[in-house]
Amino acid sequence: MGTLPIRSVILAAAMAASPLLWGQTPPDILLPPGDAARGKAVFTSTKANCQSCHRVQGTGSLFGPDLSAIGAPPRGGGGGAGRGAAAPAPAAGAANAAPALPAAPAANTANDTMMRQLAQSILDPNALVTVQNRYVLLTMKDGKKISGKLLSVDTFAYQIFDSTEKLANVSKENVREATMTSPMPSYRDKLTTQELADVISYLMSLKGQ
Amino acid sequence: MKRKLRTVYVALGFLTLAAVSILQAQQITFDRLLHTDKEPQNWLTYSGNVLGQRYSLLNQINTGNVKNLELQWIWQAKSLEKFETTSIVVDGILYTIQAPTNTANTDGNTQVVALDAATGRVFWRYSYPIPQTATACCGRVNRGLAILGDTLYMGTLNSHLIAINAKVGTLIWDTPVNPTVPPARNYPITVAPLIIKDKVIVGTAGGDGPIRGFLAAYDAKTGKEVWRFYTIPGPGEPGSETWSGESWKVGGAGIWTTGSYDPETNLTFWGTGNPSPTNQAPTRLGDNLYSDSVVALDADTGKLKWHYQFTPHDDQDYDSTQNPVLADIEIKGKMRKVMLWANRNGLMYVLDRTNGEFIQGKPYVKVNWMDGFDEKGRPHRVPGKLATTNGGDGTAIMPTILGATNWYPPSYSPKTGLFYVSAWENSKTGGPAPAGGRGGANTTPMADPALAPNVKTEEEGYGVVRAFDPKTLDQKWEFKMNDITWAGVLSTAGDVVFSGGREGYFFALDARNGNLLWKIPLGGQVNSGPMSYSINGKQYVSVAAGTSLFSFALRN
Repeated sequence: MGTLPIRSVILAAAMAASPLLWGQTPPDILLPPGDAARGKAVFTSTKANCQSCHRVQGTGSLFGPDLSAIGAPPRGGGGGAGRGAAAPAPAAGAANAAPALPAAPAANTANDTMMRQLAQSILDPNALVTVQNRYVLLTMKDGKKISGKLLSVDTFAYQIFDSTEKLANVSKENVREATMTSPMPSYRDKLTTQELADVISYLMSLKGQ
Repeated sequence: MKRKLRTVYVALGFLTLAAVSILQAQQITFDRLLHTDKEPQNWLTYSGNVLGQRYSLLNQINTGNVKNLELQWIWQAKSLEKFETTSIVVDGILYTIQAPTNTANTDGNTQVVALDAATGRVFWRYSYPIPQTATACCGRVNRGLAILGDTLYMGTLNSHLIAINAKVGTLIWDTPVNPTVPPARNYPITVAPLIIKDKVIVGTAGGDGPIRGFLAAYDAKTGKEVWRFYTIPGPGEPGSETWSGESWKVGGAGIWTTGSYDPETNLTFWGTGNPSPTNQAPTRLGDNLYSDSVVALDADTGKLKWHYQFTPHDDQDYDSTQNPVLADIEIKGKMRKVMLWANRNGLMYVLDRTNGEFIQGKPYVKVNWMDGFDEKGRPHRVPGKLATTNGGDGTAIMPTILGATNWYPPSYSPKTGLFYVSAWENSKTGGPAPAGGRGGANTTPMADPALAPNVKTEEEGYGVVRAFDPKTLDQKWEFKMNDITWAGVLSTAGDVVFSGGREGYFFALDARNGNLLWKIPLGGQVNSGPMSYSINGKQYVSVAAGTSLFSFALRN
């Protein structure tokens, strides 16, 4: 037997970003000023249900990237926590009142870029995924679906961290199809523009220890 | 009384004769090295025979029963390095090498080890000190030993060739192969020596640095140099015009893998490494002969008889660090004495080994740096597909600088007539990363003994074992892995192909169609070429993975 093919079409969108790619400018988006406190409320609400996958300061699931330091300054230019990207520090006072994201790329500071990336990740989770955070959706031969963070893949099996927070070695013999796709839903129709701005503001306030 | 004495003398005479006979039986003569097909129970050279085929005539393990293989023994090396050695087996004794134990700050030792090939029990160990300054570009590795008579030969990372008594593991002689040009660390030896007649042939690696590569032959008895062939011609010699200025003095063209030998023509064939500096091609204008070439030398004199350059004026590190594989095959209705070569540059070649004639060539992975050959086999380079330091346009070049393949040995089965190669696909260097993903050499680092998680996608590179018909160079089958590979290939008369990869699996394929027949995870990367031997009628297959050596046989 050979390798079970991974659908390349989806891969093109879902594959990890290199540090080079991470430097690319996300799409422009116009948002009102955000409020971190309101954003935290949205983040922890059942409506957004973010903690079902993400952990912040010890609370929430380990399935998705830990966001405790998502707003921290970059460490050596890349490979930070959470999304694995260098996250520049927001401007002073931004923890409670993030500025509106400008529509023009001229104001593309590192801080703005960071917020754009957060917005993009929330609205289009498959647009930008780092190597450390690749997820695979396995459709088993019995129809069952297993989603997991891809820890490693070899010729015969997937090694994943599944949605029940268990490490699992899944034999390819039992897999009908494997798709590299993020299990995170798009929040494009789930959050208002203000809520999105607030959540981004909250995330920018998370600096880790 | 006299009669009794006579009887004793006669008995002693018989005993002496018997002892001499046994001793001679144990001696490895060159004739035995030439005719390894008569004793398939042994594995007497790096490639199994002087033709470089890495093919075992043993067939006890075959496509029908290979699924019943089970581990017989493990020998664990004390080393942090990749275990790239192919062991040799002589009449039940397995000789292998523990890679130097150096760390970045400490000296260490290379150890030659004699084991019972049936049980893995150690008979003796011989340690050779290696200063931590002695290293090759890509690891402190050693790929193997040679044997002649009852003497083992090994090259060292600090540029020595040593002879060791195979029975007791004591040093016989120690010859520095490059005594005049310091520092020795630029001239490491990683290659298993090749015995031809009464000579031991080795070459120097280190061609990624400022050296002038060479091959040299040494008297097997004394260790004295007999001949030397520089892989870069000196001023006034043919080929010297292919180097600009003084670049020839430091042009690289090292030797990383063992050559082969054609007894009919008394020619020995060796692949040469990249020109140096690799990424500064404008400093060494010209074709840079005999880098990235195969050179055919008279085995007695070291004189060059012919050469073929695979990649003229290389700027991609496409060194020809592969074992020349010799075979006699029918091409277009005519039997040809050929050399098969799957090159790091992504192209597979068939050459006439008697004169170097280019018979045919073809990509065996995705290749975009060239788009054809002229009638003499010179590749036509695609404009722009150069290193950016050499005028390239910065677009991705395939294959990557780590190549379509590398030093790890291929195999040719005279039984199936197929040529088996471990290769990398979709590896590329330079240019923009693929959409949303990584790209280039950084995704395909050099090998390591330990397993590491792999999340590469197919577009980011993967490993394969591929089988080709050398008559046409058409691919017959492939076995895909998720991760890339740094493992060689063994084919056997049981129609089984053995190989492995960085995922740590050692596996058996059907040599005729590539079907997976058996696999076992070994807990470390397989960074070596498998080999096979037998003891008392029981066939073993051995491979190194991680820092250990494993031997398998059929379940009793």
